[in-house]
Amino acid sequence: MNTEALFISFNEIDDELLERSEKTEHKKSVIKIKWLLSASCFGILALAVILINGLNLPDKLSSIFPTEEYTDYTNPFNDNPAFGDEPAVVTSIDKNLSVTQDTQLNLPLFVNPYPMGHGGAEYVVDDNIEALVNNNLNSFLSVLGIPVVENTLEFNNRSANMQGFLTDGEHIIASPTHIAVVVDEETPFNYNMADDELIAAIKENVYLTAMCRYLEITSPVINVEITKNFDNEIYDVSVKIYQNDDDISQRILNSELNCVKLIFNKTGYSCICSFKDTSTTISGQMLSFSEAAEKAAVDIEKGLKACTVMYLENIVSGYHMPCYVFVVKDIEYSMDGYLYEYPQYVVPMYDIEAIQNSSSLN
Amino acid sequence: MEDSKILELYFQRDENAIKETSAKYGAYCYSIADNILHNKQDCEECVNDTWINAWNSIPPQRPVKFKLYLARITRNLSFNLFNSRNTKKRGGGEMHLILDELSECVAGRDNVENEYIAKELGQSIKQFVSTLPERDANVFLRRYFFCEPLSVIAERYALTQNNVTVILSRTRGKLKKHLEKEEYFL
Repeated sequence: MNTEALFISFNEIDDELLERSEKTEHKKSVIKIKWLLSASCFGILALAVILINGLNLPDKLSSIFPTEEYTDYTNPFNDNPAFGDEPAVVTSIDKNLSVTQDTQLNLPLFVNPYPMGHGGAEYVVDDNIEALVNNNLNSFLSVLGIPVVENTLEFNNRSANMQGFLTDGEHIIASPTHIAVVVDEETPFNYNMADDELIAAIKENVYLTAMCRYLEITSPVINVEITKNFDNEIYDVSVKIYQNDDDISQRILNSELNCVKLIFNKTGYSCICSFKDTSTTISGQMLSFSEAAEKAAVDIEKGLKACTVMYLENIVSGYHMPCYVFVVKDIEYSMDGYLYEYPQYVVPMYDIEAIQNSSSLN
Repeated sequence: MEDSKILELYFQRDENAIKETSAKYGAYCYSIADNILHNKQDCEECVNDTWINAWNSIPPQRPVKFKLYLARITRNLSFNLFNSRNTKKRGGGEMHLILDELSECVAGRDNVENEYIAKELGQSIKQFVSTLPERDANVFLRRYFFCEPLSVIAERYALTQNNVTVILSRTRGKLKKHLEKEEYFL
């Protein structure tokens, strides 16, 4: 048998099945994202939340998905890796940010003055924006203490990015909401580091420490997420750093709107300092945990694995929308009882239409 | 015009049948050909040949789902043209990827009569697809029957492109196991 025979054999598929596949599904207010958090098949996730307060190092990494749940499983793609180096999509729940129905939240809806689309910035990139980006860059450089290589700075009008080089291999990018440094050289971080070694390397990194100072992160939480490919090899490691706070709402705001990210793989690393403009809030009725779970048809008692809150920009263009993210263990899509998906149901906390209708009435 | 009325035109041997078919399903069939061939001239040739094939086969046939009947013809003609004109060499685009992906599920023996094997194999594939969850089956068919790009499938089902890739990968893994079980790997 060869590939062409297999291709031709699809002609025998029933009309009903082909017809069923013609229908289109539109995004709904409750969005089910199959992130495929199955560490069994995708070998994905070692998630850890480390709280470092000053020099206090954590005793042990903790994980919201117990490691032992996955260790015995076979990777069905081991014999025939599905697509080489491609990583599986992964996202994680930071235990420090997980919420339950008893959690009291107070999270505003923000206007996003800098929405980005596929074609670039969806806002007017004028001289004021360029001045803002320039100011962000210069403020960061003054904290960093390293100048941009002369004559390398360029402003891109479409993306509202300003780019330049700090050295030959260290590329810096500034935008109205981000500063990023990309280093295409041997990384000081590696996959085999113990927790304390990783933390030490983070502390020693000039870009990360400068970014933490820039965002005034003095009591950091570090969230580590490891993505593996289908060969069960580590594809990259992502580390998120944000200011700790006793209040869960403030922790969420810190982690989503004012954070530093480190992403590294074998070929280099990037540090991203993210600071969203949160000057304009919109008032409206916030959906409760229980109402959101009901909307997503999530069984809080049985199926729910975890829930957190994320601010998403692509739910409603022009807004930073706080959303409940329910992670559910999905038995339906298990394969031979050992391969599970962990789909996420994203439920926006605010009803934009209701807010707009109410403001137009006023 | 409704499909039943178009089919009546075929049965009456009224050449308006082709005109009506072209008006209703021209774009649809062109998109299937385009997914495979990526060449305007070839696509137009395939779509025109689709009407001729339909004209020659109806009657005696009376398809229940006329649209899918045409889809099958276009798909076959496009694939034949893809092979005969050696389109692979000039960059068959999505078809390259699709055949590469399907090659994960098969093994050896390239010289066996494809038509014969395909017919027999088709029953097995049909059975396999009918056991899949609806979403996975839909994604699988959009890719390997309609030859749609990943981005189009993602858009159709409100999924991320990476999500589509993972669904396809898992389904190919299942298909491989299914074919092994059915002893298609010899």
